[in-house]
Amino acid sequence: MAPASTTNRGTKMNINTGATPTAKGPSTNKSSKADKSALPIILDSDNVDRTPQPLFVSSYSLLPRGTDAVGGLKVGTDDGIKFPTDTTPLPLCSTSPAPPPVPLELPKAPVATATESSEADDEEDKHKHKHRSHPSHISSKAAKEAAVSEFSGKSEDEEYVITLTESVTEFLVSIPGTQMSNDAPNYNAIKMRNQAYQKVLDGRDHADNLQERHSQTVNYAQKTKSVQAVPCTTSSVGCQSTDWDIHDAYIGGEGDEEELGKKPKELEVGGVEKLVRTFTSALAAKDCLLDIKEASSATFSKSVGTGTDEFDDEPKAKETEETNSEMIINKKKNLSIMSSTELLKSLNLMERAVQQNLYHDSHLRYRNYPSGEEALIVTADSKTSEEEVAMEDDEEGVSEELAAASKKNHGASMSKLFTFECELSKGRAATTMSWNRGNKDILAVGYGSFHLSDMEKDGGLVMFWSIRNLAHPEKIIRTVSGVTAIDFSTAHPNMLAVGMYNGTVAIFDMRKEKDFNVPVLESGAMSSKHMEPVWEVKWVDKGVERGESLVTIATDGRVLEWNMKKGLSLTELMVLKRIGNSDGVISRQASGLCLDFPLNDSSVYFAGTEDGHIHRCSCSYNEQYLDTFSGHSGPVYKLRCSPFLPEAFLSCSADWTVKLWNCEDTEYIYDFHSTDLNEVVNDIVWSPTSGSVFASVTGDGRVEVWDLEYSVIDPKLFYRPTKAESVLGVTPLTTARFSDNAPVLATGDAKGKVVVFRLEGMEVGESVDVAEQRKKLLDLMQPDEQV
Amino acid sequence: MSSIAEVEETLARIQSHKGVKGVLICTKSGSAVRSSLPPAETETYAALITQLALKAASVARTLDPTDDLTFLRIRSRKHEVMVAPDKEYLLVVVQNPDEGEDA
Repeated sequence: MAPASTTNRGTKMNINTGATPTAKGPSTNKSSKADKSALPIILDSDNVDRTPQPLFVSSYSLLPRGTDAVGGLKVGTDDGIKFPTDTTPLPLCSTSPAPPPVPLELPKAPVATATESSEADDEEDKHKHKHRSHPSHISSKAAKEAAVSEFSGKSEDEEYVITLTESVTEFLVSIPGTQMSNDAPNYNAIKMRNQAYQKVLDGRDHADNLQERHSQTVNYAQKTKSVQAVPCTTSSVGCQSTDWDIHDAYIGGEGDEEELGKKPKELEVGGVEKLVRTFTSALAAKDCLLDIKEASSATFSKSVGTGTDEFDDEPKAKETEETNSEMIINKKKNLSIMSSTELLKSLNLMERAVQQNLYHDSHLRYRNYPSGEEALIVTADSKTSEEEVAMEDDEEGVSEELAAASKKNHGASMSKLFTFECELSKGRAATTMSWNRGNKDILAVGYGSFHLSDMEKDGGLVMFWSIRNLAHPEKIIRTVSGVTAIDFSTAHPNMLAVGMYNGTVAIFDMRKEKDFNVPVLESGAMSSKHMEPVWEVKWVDKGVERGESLVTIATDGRVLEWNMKKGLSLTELMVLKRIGNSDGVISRQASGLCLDFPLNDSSVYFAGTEDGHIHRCSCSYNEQYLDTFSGHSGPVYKLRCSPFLPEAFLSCSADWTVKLWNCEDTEYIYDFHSTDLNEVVNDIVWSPTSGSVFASVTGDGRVEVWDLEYSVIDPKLFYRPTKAESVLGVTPLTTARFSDNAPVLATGDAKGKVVVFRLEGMEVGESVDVAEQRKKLLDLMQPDEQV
Repeated sequence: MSSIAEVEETLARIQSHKGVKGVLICTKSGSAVRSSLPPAETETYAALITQLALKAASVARTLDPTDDLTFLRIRSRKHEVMVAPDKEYLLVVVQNPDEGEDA
């Protein structure tokens, strides 16, 4: 129930007129109209005090007596006093006790004088009072209470009139403009004045009453005084704001999901250590302004710009206090780095880069990119090509001359490109190879043995080589027994079928990241599986309903078909029986050594036996052979049908020969035998690009590339181990494969080396015209016409 | 996390490769984690290469903020320095590629 001041509003408020708030206030002694000038207390219907409190209380009336603040509104009292005489002004500051009551006479006296003095004086006095009065604050309840106690004895029934007036506007700075508009009232007067002044200025030069005179002011003696202040410690902090920095800040949250995923792990690993680490690093940084003693107790905050985050990770050990924890942190970090997957990837990438430095030229030649010298070869004469051969081939001696000689005739040549070899494969024979159908740069090589040897107990290997890394295969599969046959599936290029020396047939899925070396299917426990080395595994497409199935042949003379529909199930296609005189023979069964299906026909197949016979059999009829081709005098090691002409097939045998057959004729068409060859022919392979070209590898380390078009007597290209190489003993070459997408021939030998040869001059072109090749071969196969 | 054994094996292979002078793994701030070079060289390489790799990454990213540096090669007359950067570390290999090319 405190009185309110009434200085600040221009509206007259008569509180007691019928409205719910009631005003109560003390009476005034001096004023005749006490009810109108007293400060009311406004209560609402619940008797809660709702009196508006002034923001500023001045004990001094701002207005001269009788005048209006705003035009038309009269001041509440005649003498301009806004305060009841015996009221003290409200204490405006909450912390101070009730202020000394401003003597009520004091406001009066200046007010009295104010009425006669000018407005300017008013303002002056007002200013004085302003200094004395308390700063404007909304009073607190305590202060109100204090004030209330003053009024406890007064009557509470009188009415008070509150007059609110607007305070005078104080001009702190007033810069009037120097422009005036054309239609201002005193425009003409001003204009005349300006003109008069201008006249005075103009006439200044020769005016009589204008005289110029100079005078000198006294220059006081000067004295300099300097003060030195302690310079503020400065430190420069730099940060680079680059485009990517900004990009990271905006988008980093979305794109860096991996990072976010890692962070909790990091926190797990060393949450506290990381905190300590960042803390000590912040301290150790030269820019740190914190005193170390201070900092050790206080909490820290790391505020570094995003661009400089990386720098603060590892402080130098010397500069921090907590070196022990630093070292531990370092070690942990090193360990986490060393075992991260990314490091492995980086290392792999690096290995390939290192390899590329050495073998870049080889890679280019593999890919058939013309390098400078190659461009010369294709177009130039034999002389330069001889030189090229001399440059590339390290060998000297017989092979080089012969190669050069052969080059003269037909412009093609063969040279070693690179060798796939690694520690693991040394000593094991490369028994079989297969280029992947999907990714034609991957060569899968199976290592095992042809005969029962000591190596057998070490099991076998399948290595997946890529030209990008010549020292180490991309993947390695270890098998229980030596690998003797592999084949990639055509329908599912990630499936690899492996036949082993102990008769096991296993299927691996190469797409698996981790468990690719665990076979998806294996013939381990099946009772009717092969019991003897499996020499050939072949995927055949049996049509839409039956899908792809695997056909294998082994020394036990059985041809089995494996089906993968429900696990691994097999059906026996054929048991190879010996033909001819079977008396006195240990077993009536022939040993099967090789198998092949003709082009586009999956119901008929050819099988070669140890006896030297080749049989044509049907998948659906297992009693008898459809045909028998005899001609070889030794075991038929390999049988290959032409990829262009379904009727033609090649066979190679231990009788040092390779024979070309037409399946319609039981006599062979051609017999290929180099005159100086005294060793078995281990493998033959047709070229995928040229219908009349095939390659053979022999037991004396020779590689021969035959072209029927060129000659049936001599191979078109050949490679023989040099004298230097053959000093220690000739390594038989055991397997050969042409590559589908590069003009190379890969050969494997019995010591585990896989050598890739580059064939030059025999590239056919981008696409192979199947019909054309077919026709070519067909023509070549009919010698009668030529004769 | 792949096994440390694989990492060690690959590291050993690279180190024993033809012409490779040394292999170094260091953190982004220049402290070496693993190195096959003598300590003085290690420090030098680490200090220099971290700065260069950072600058190179900055170049790659400024040109296209969605791109990032994957490999850096410095070929000088005598050596080739190959750098494979990563978020936390730097893999540096110094090789002399002219030393004995395989046929």
